[in-house]
Order: sequence, then C-alpha cells, then structure tokens
Amino acid sequence: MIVMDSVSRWYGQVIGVNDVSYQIGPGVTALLGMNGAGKSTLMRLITGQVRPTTGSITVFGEEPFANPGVFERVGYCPEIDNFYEYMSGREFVYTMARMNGMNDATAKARAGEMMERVNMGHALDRKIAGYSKGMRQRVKLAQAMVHNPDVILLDEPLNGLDPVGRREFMGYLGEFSAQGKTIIVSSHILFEVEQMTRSIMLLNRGRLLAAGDVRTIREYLDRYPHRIRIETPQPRELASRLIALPYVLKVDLDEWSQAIELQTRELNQFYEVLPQLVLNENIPIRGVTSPDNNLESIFKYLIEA
Amino acid sequence: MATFLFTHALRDYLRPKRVVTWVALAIALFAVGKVFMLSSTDTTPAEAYQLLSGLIVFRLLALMSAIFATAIVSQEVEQKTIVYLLTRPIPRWQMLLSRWLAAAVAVGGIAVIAVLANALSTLGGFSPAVARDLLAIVTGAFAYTALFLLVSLLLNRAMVVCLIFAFGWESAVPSMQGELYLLTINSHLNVIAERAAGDAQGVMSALAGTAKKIPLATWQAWLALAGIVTVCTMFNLSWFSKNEYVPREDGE
Repeated sequence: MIVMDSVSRWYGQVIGVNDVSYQIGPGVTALLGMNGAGKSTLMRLITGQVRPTTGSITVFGEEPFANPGVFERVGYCPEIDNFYEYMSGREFVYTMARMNGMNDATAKARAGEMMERVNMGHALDRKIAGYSKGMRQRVKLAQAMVHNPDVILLDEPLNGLDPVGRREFMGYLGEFSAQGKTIIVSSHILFEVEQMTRSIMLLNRGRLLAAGDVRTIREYLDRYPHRIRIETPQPRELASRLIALPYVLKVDLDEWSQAIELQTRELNQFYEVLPQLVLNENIPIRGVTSPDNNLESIFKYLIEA
Repeated sequence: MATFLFTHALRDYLRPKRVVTWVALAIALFAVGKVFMLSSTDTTPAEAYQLLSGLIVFRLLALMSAIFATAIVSQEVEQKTIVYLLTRPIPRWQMLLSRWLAAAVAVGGIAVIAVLANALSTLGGFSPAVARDLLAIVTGAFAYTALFLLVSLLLNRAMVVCLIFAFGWESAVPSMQGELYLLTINSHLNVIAERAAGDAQGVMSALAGTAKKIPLATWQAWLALAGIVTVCTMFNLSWFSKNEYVPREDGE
C-alpha cells in the first residue's frame, strides 16, 4: 500500500529522512522517534507535500506529490495547531469535506456526523479560536476522517488530549484498524505507542533504526543483556543461586526494597530455569518484571547500538 | 469544485475584519474629494476627479493588490494552514486559479467603491470617465494581483518588492523619458481610462502617473495587460503545481 524505497529527503544541509526503505500495510503502524527524528518529514512525504530528494515513495502504486488521486484516499491530521480560526469547528470540517469533492448536502451531513463522532457535538458552531487544545485535536481528527479515507496519518495526535480523550482516541484507532484501514501514527511518547500498536518504525536522525513488531525488534537485541527484576523477601539467597547460572551476567541486590535486578543474554533459558530453581530452593517470589519490557528501553538500546 | 474554492476564498478575503480598513479608506475618499473641491477653486470637477483617481484610487488598487495577492499563498504558508489545502484531492492549478480570481475580484470590488466615492464627491455623479475608470480598475486588479502573486511565489520578502513596485516604480517610471513606461501597469491603465496627460500640473501630476502622454493606442494597452495577466497566470499555475510549500521553520 505504502512503499518507500531508499527514500531520503534533505532540507538544504539538513537531512530529514535518510535512506528509508519499508512497506506499510493495513493496521496501525507507529512512527516512533524523538523530536527531529524524521517522523513528520516521512508523513509529509507520504501525504505528498514534499518530494523525496532521492529514492521513491508510492501510495497505492502512485507517487503522492500533488496527486489528487492519492489524496482522495488519504486523510492527514497534522501536528500543527493552526486553523482558520474565524471558522466554527463544523464549518471547518464542512469546508474540508467540500474540498474532498462532496456536495453541499453530503458535506454538511458528514461534517456534523464526524464532529459528533469525535465528541464535539456540544461545540459544533463555536469558533475554533475559542476551542481548547483538546478540542482542536478532535477537530483535526474529524477533518482527517471526513472523507472516509483508506489511509489515515496522524501526527502526534494525542498531544493535548486528556486521559478520557486519549482513551477515546485509542478506541477510534481500533475501529479504523478493524475496518482494514492503514493508520500511521507518530509519537515520541513511548508508552502511548505501546498502547496503540505492536507494529512500529523506529526513527532516529532520519534513519530507520528498526521496524516491525516490537517482539521482532526485541530479537535484534539478543546480543544485548536483558534486565529482569525479581521481588523476593530473600534477595541474597536468590542472588547467590542465580549468579551461578552461566547465562546470568550480573546481579544487583536491592535489599531495601527486597528485590534483585539481573542481566542475562538468554532470556528464554532463564525463564525456563527460574521456576524450578525457586521451587527447589523454596524461595518465595512476589513478582517478576522486566525494566526492558517497554519501547523506551528498546529505543535506548538501538540508539546506543 | 472550482466554484466552491472561489466562493470559499472570496468569503475569506471579504471577511469584515479584513476589508473594513479598505472599505473605510475607499469611502473616506468621498470626504477627501469634497475637501479638495472646496479648497481648490481653480480646478474643474473633471480635473479633480482625474487627479484623485490617479493619486489615490489607482495607488489604493496597487496597494490592495500587493496585500491580497501575497496572501494567496504566502499567508497560508505562514499560518501553516497550507497543509489543509495541499492535501485535498484538488489539482493545485485549480486551487491557485480559484484563489487568485477571488483575490482579484475582492480587490476590484473594493477599488470600485473608491472610484464611485471619488465620482460622487468630485463629479457629483456618473460620467464616461468614471465608466472608463471602472473598466481600467477591474483590469488593473487582475493585472496587479497576477503580477504580485508571481512575485510572492518566487520571493520570500514579496510584500516589500510589491510595495516598492506599486509606489516607486509605478509612480516614477511612467514620467521618465524613453519607453520605460511600457514596463508599468499604471501607464496601460491610464491609456484604457483615456486619462489626459498633464491636466493636473507638476508633482501632483507626476505622482498621479499622468505627467507624460503615453503614446499607446487603447488596443495596445489592452493587449499588453492581457499579455501580463496571461503570462503571469500561466507561470503561477505551473510554478505552484511543481513546487513544495512547507512552512519555513518546518522545512529547516
């Protein structure tokens, strides 16, 4: 559906996207990276606002730059917080609907429907200038969805949304995904992404650092030690047993909170052995967690690698 | 679609907040004309009309054109709202053409108010000179906006260039020796308006762009302005269709 082949994009001397090759299909894909990683540039390339400096990008088999055929099937919720402030939310979404080729009656109906859908029914005819940040985010989302696109790109969509709004937004993503749409979401907040999808593209300084399922990315990391935290009332005893295992590289004792944190390269083997060891030695375990079990750690690993 | 784009842009350009100053200026011309007529007893109403028309109405036209034309694209880029326009399934040329036509109509409409205010205050009504001015002013609105749009597509500081052109070039060059007047829009508009040269003498006449007789036939002036509008428009549509318009700080 979206095919990037060695895409690079320079802004003068600054590189926005550097030699990215990847294909994005239906479902939710997250563009993950810090500010300046190239997420927004990649979105601009996909939405045909800019051209690649080198390489190629196609959406539904066509080059997207200034291509109305592609825009008919793409909805874009930009990161910017700029609007035609003198318009009401409904008027803005209606205008965007008209620009998507709908006639007056359809656009009116659809604009109202989408505003209701993003819970803006109470402020349909208020000027956008008077909207809160969260309301503005919702209006942006409504205009991106108003023409029922096949591909939806959402650039930092959770900015400014309160917890309720975030939960609702996650719900929308789930709905779109279930409809077979392609959704691309960018974020620099890792726990947010984890809640949205397992399919990620990890960008850093314009480069695609890793891509695919979070679990697949984890496999890239096998040569890096994984950290495991075990809570137990007998941390010294457990530490002495575990350090004897050949694939346990290091054990840190945290007696104050009654826990140990160890590092291992063989995660699967460790988890196979741990229950038996605990049962044999009769050491109670209160909890096992992995500090690496989030995208932030993976991101850190990959950048440092 | 083109109709919607045009009306949408026109509504934007004619928002009260945006045009109130211009309409006030145009109407104020009525008072200016009255004061001028009272203070200048040796000037005929026709001369007063022509002087104020050249001195104020056609300068106002150029100024409005500069401001409205540079807003067609630059303002959208600066306000970052360009993203909403460029990600819609509309050919870019259609988008630009509609917006330019809307800008030209808005400028022309406000300038027509100024012409009528001037006519009412100096002539006390309509005359063939007013009809010719209306024709010239509407033509001028299209010519100026097309040219200034081109400047805004090519240059970052388009407004400065447009204002220098509108007030410096357009005022000074028609009075110069030689055929440099051919490179102004105002000279051609004066020919279309059949404005007599030198009726108002001295500096005022020079500022009004009527100090020198323009040796052009009306059809030649029409042809030249049609050429300017066509060439500028074709260039603008082609340029806008091929180039990227990303808000500046985002493009760095």
